[in-house]
Amino acid sequence: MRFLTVCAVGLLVALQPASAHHAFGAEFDAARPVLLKGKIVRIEWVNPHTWIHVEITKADGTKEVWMVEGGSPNSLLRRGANKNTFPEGTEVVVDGYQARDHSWARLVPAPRILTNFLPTS
Amino acid sequence: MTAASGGTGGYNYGWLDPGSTYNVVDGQKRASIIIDPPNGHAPPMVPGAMQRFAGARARPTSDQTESTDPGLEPTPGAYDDPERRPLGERCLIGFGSTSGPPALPDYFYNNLHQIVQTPESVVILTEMVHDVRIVRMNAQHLPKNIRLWLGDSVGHWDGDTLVVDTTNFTDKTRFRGSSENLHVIERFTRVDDKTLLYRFTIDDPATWTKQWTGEYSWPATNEKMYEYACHEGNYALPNILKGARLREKEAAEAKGAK
Repeated sequence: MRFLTVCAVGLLVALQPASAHHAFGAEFDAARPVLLKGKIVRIEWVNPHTWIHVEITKADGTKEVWMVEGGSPNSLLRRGANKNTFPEGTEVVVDGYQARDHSWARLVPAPRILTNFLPTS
Repeated sequence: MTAASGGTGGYNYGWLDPGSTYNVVDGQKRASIIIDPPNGHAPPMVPGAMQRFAGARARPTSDQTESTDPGLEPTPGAYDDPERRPLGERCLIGFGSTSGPPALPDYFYNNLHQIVQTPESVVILTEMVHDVRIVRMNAQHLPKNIRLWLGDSVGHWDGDTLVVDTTNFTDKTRFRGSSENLHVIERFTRVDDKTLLYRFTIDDPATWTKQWTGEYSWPATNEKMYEYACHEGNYALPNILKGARLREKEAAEAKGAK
């Protein structure tokens, strides 16, 4: 048997407008950006998107855990990040959008998770 | 997308993996895949083809353009049932015809294909949603009553070019509005040690006024293929449906308040 792995992509290739994997506007509310600061309490390294659980301290001192949707594990691995890159307790800043269903109110996608995924120490 | 306030912005490179090479064919960087018609645009659709699947029975497909707002959905009821969501969103097959045929690039991520060749068959594994196509070499097509989501592919060699002929599609994938009788001819040519030229011709008289052809290069890579078992953690689907229910509730309340 012969194996050949190829990358079928070109930066300038576009046959049709790009479609994301999930209906962003149905799941998240672009009118509700949120900025979260807290520490990682759990990582779900699952497809199609990673989920990072971040505990924040609210103004009244109580704590709340938010789930943050991240890129796919495949993309993150290719960018040099793996599950151990974000150990529990890591202080992070998440810049994203809140879930459309505010009653659930614990979901944001994190479009800038990596640029903002920096320990604050 | 742009943020309503602040600098949140759109997806960053933690999400995207569009590749690192240009589409180069015959030494030219190409901005369009379609080479016939020469203007780079698919030919017009035949009358009625665009409306063929309209209506309540229409089901989203893998290459349906994403709607970003429940109110703008082209098909009524598209958020009423998980089975009305696009095939890619449900993690059933890749979105945007990544596995094909025709196999198209995706600027988001998971852009690798692995080709495994044996004397009897050629297997094309697509990383996006791990779609697998098995091309039976020098074989006859299946009977017309046996229909497959990715079609039935048979192959033969034309000199050094692998020619793959695919028919027997279902009405589930419907590439760009094509009919079940879509016929795709793909040609894989190894133009040098590091490059495959992938060319496809779309033949579906029930949908387009004439055949059309595209091509782009598939550069070899040493990168690893990763599994994409997408369904297990697909929290997005229930969140999308919940979001739609909220929108309906808000719309009903707004109506009641008037």
